[in-house]
Amino acid sequence: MSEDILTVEHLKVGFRTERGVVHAVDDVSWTLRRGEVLSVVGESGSGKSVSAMTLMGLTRSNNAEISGTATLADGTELVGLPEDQMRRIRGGRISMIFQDPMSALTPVYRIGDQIVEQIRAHEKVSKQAANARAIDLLKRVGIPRAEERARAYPHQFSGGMRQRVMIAMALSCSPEILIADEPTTALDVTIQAQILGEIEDLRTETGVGVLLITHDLGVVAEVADRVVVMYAGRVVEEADLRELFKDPMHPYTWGLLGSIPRIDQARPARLPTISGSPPSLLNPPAGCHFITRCPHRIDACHTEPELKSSAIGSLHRDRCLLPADEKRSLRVVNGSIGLPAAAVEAVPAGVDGPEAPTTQGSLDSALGLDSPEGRLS
Amino acid sequence: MTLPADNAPLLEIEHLQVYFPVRAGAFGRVSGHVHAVDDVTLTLNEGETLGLVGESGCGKTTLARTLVRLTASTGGTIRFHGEDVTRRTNKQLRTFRRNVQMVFQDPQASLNPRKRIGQIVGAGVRLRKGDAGARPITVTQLLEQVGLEAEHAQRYPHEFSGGQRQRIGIARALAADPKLIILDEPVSALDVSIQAQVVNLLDDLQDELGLSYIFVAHDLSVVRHVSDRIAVMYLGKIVEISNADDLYARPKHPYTASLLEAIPIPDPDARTDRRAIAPGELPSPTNPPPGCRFNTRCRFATDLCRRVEPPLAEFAGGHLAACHHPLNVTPDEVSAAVRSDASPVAAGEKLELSPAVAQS
Repeated sequence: MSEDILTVEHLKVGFRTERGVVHAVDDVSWTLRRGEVLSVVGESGSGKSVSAMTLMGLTRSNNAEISGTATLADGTELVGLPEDQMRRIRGGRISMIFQDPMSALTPVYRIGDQIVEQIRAHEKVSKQAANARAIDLLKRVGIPRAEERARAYPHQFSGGMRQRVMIAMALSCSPEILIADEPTTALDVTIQAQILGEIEDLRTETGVGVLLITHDLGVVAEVADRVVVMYAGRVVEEADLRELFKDPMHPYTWGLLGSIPRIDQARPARLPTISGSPPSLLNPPAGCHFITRCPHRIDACHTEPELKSSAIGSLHRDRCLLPADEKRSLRVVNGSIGLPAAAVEAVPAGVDGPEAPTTQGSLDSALGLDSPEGRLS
Repeated sequence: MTLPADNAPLLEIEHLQVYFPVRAGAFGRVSGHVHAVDDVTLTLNEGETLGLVGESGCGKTTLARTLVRLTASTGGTIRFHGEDVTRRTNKQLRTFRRNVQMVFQDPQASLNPRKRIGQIVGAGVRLRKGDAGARPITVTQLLEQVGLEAEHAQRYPHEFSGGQRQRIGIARALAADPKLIILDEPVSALDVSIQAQVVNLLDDLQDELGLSYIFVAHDLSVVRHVSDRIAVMYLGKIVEISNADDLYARPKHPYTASLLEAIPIPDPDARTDRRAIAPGELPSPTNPPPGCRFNTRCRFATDLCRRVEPPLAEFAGGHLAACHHPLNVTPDEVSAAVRSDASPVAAGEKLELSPAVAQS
């Protein structure tokens, strides 16, 4: 259970643009263990997707600057791996599920053929054997009448069924690592519950390590074992699931936990918020990146705080320099964890314009990607 | 145009139907209809917020668009201030259109990228000038009202973040001095921390301006925060309407109950196995199942559910539920329940309520 299968250290990803370098991922380190679900949580532009895509070699472009290491259990180094070797790992040892299954599937090929293609790209098996395995996989992820459905096209499936197909495809070569990037964001709640159940089963049955990228702390609480919270390109907190929810140590985590409307609690008159918006990654504030929105900031926050253990010898790490005891009293707002509504309007740092014009947008154009965070309805 | 009747609810929707033809073959022969909104009856009072929830394909967005007449209805009536607006021409609808505004889900797609914010918001201000009933206002005042600054009027939509763009969308809706704003998934595309800011802004504006809202969303936790009453839709039908607190505390329709159970709770101690709830998927809206439309996914469905469409039963406190086997009810409540006038025409003539028993 505690075997490390992927170790990311000091990963940095920057994109050169006309207006300067966008520091999408700024010195990120974490480890994924066999059979565990590690969740990376953050808002748009926090660098959670870019870091995962970098592992898969999907952010390589002429304007990208990538440094740091990402090492598999057998010592294979993913950062800087030549493309031909990367292709063997991608889909073979590491697979990925995306937010929008429709754009990740080819509309002109049958579902079964797409899975067969992936199997045969990685293993020397006959078409018949690959086809039989594709049908088994479709059954395994709960697609009824799999033999028949394998001959259907993606548009003939519903959103939930398409996501099941994606999972079947991701499993086809028995990967060690499954990266799920917002796998249920585009789905309805009842279908989301089904898909999360699928991921959960899969992890127990195959021992695959799952890197779950999401913005939804509800989903995290449901399936994750450990959590990494990212903000503006940096890890601000890392902890076991229970510790993160019960004893969060970074003010941004408090704000995130506080701003979720909850149906299991009485409704407050106003939803607690985090005032302001994330800083521009072109020109982030000096010191702590959360300084522009943090009601608890002090002068010392202008120098960059390290990610350090929250208690001596603890695996719980956070990037806030306030003493732990002080944090435990500061984080309680009206009886639950959150940020006080204190106005933090005076923004001292180098945010360009009144509010950064979507860091996500500039990232997408730098990457030549278009990945709307929007949830379909 | 007739004068608005006194004390009439702001909006009355009666037996509203929106069917879309499905065409097939070389000659475009109509082979069936998508029953997007199928016999919906609702009222909205002044100053009230009605939440409209359901999953993709349940007809909530079609209903919202039909209310502002962006989509034509195929049957039923919509009355605004007691006045039927379903069969009026565009010219006759001018005052109605000013009074009922819409905010869309994707602020990126609903703002013209080539126009400055001042022009976008200003169009509504001009609409207001042509109408004697409207209060005068300037673009600057509107921008300040939604938490933006005067100089933002000179900028283009792409210069703003998602949350700010949604504020612009709200300013544009407010520009016409509306009485009712239809909000179609206004915060679904935003990050949680920004989502809460926009929800609070909508709350403040309602208090300040006495607005009424119809808040369309798939996210039941956000809807609870803003709504006085909530209507749950499934496959074109209203399955339950109730005041917000009662709906969350004691849902009566099994579909509502499974929607609530499916919401992941951000608390590791609340972790449960949620796979048992509402298995399967939404049936085709072209050929909906007979009887209760939820019967294919409902663990309480009986033979009666497969034959007879349940009428809306009215329980104490005006809680309506279209279910033969309602949950969270006492025998007394069942015997006191009456068939609501809001029931669909095709629904059963009389109530045949009996307790819910899980079927294997």
